[in-house]
Amino acid sequence: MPAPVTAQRCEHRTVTDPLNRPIAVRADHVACRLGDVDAVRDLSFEVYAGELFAILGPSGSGKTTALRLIAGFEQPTAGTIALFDDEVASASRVVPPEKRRVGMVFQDYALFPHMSVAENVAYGLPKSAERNARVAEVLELTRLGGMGDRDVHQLSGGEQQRVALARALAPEPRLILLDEPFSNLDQSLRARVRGEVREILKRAGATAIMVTHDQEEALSIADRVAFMWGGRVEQVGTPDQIYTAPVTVHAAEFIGDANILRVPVEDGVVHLPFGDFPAPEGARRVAVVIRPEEIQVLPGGAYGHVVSREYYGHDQVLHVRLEESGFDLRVRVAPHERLGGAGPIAVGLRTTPLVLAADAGGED
Amino acid sequence: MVSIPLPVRTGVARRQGRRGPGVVLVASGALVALLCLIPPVYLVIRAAGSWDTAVETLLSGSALETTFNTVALAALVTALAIAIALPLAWLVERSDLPGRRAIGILAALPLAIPSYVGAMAFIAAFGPRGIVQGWLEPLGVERLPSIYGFPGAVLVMTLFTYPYLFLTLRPALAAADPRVEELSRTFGYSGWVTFRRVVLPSLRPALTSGSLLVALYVLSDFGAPTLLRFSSFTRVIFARYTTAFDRSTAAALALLLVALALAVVALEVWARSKRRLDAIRDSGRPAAPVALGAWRWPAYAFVAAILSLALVLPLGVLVYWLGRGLEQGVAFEDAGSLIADSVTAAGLAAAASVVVGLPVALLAVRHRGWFSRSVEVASYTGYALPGLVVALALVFAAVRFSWLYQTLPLLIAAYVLLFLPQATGTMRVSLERIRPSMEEAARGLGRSPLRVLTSITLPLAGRGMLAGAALVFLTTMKELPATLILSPAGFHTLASRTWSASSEARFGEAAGPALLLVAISTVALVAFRLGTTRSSRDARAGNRAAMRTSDRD
Repeated sequence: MPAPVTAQRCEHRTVTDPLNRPIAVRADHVACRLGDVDAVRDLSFEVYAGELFAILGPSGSGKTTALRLIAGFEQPTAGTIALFDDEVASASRVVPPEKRRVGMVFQDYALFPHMSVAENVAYGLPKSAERNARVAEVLELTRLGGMGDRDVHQLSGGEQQRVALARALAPEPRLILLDEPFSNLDQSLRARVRGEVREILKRAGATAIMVTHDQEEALSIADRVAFMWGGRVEQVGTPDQIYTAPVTVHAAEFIGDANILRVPVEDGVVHLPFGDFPAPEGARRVAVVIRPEEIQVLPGGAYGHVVSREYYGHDQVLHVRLEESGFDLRVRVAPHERLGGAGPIAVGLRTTPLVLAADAGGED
Repeated sequence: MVSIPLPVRTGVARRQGRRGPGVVLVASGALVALLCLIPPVYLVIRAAGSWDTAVETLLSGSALETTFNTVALAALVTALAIAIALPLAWLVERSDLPGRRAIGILAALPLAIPSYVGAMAFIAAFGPRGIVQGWLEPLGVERLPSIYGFPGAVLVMTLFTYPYLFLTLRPALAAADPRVEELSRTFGYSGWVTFRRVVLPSLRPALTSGSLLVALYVLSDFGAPTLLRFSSFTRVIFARYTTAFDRSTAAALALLLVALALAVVALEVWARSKRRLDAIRDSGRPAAPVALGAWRWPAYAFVAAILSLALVLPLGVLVYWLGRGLEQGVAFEDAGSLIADSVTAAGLAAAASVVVGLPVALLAVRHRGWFSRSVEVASYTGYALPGLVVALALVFAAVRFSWLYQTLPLLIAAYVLLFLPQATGTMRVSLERIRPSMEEAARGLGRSPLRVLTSITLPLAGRGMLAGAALVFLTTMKELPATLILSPAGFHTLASRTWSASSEARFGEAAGPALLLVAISTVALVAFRLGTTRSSRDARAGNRAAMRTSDRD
């Protein structure tokens, strides 16, 4: 049954789709309690048709429960979930998983061991004349052509994952869900398989939601990312929005490397060794977020000493303790820079830092 | 769009909880639990029905004496079974004794000899007018020490129950982490001190559960004590049931026996709850076998003594009497119909146990919580209650439904009540190996819970279900008291014929059916052992496949 679109919900929508695609998934203030744990407290986002959407968060943030709620394996205790305007879950009514037309790719792939590759892929298809043709088509799409008769035990990890993906895609579901899809793969394989999976999903024209705790994974292949913390979606945005403009301290700390400076506000102004910056309205304490690569070594500026150094090859990170203020900063510099020694160095900012009210999460 | 109302959530969900069990599963689970509770409920009703007699019976001196007899028998048999099983298991798993693989198989085989068949063989060999007496008479030996009574019962029951301990100790010995022992040796402790201080404590869980298995078997065994004329509970209860005018004394004594059995089960539950503390970790590397040197000769003597008493002697006696029976033309009088009745009863019991056990196993594995826990506990009723007691309770219950008394369905129901835990236990193990994500993936692909069950769960659990059925088949074949009490008129199984002939010392008539029983039990036992080792190999293959996913492409 279609959920009535209320005026209030329209106000809540922060992102409107510039391409005017239909909304494939709408989660509206969903909460879910498992036993005595509030696994999900507030899940709200919209996924557009054809998008590859990632839910990113640390373990225990509720992201897997979010996926299971959308698949129909868990029931919400509050809020609603709609797929293409069909309401599929609320606190009082729930559509069982088999009626949702949602394909699932599990972390362990969950291939049926008593079936061949082709039988696995055909499992979700109704018995019909076109069945074999569809299986062949999907195997071709996932670059498994000619492997239909293989036993699933004979496949490599990457191949097993493509079988799981082919099996999920075969019945042309409204949505594909991927639970930590790359965590079972060897590190050296991941980057390549990630690209493959994105390409397959895009060629199939599928809408997909992927859950991961790996920020690199989420930022590199998703069209948009939802950041979850403590059972809540704290931010939804494109990868570069999430990285460059985190709206909470949690997001800034979890995604990428960041210096977080907690400082008091005086007369609406934040005093930093690099200068004064305006504070958000009404904030009494703020957290200033400065990425290590946004700090540069200058002939003059804030003076400090290099305490230690982490050398990565493509660059290096200096730990600089500032004089006077005593702030410890991580500063990313080019690998060939020979800095430190005995004398002080001076650092400055490349851009205006991000200043968040300290109550925007993370006030440990 | 179809919407269904929210099913009632049963039980506390786990952290990664899932939707509650469906209505069908809950209903069938509840039904199974209720059926399992019929015997104890009727027993209480029957005993309470004539309260004065019950109290009088329980306070009488003979009740006290029977309790003492039974407890003494169970305690001594368990202690002796450990004394046999522990060295045997150690020799097979940890020593370099040549032929230890064959010994491992042979030492488990007495399990295929029902204890009443063993008792019959010992009576035929050592009893008055027995084979040994016949040999010794020309030498002037007029009387052997009597095989009847306490010593005979202890001897026979030890020889045919030690395999339970042997089979639980072997995997524990095999899985013990050799690094711990090596560490102990580096501290300068000798092999013997290491065994006592490191190996033995790590075996405690297996020792406890194996011992309780043996103790429970002794408490509930009917055939051997009765044939050997030792007044343990089962013999006394059966006598009261068949002879006394008022059957409520049998019911009262049965309740006392149930209390003893429940005490043993409670001990096991308690021991299991402690087991987690000293769980054995598998290091993946087997321990190096201990070189026996000249000690191998005493070891062989020990193995030979046990195997000749528990295997060679009973089989030899049976074969001897089979020959005598063939001479007299009584060995296989109605073998065809005996086999047909036995296979019918055991086959139906096996099939029914798997069908009835499936909801219990599914609930236990997939929907943990107070409800499935209660269903599981209820399904263990038959495990705790002696077969004689369950049969009596069903007789008392059938008084109200006389059309059921001495019918095949009632007999099958008794078997299912008794052996249900064997079916659910093996099914549980194989269901636990199926990752829930497989079933969820199938649901996501548009299949209903029932289709998922038939296309994914059951095919993957198939081998476990077959193993469970085989186990029930094996134990049903051997089952005696329920068969004696509940069989329809004219329904004679191999077990009931072995019993009726041997209790009247017509050994020539008993030997044929008894040997057939042993043969069938052996086949079922071997099939079951093969089935479990095959499926554990599958599990390993599955693990390897899972590990391979992290290998290079």
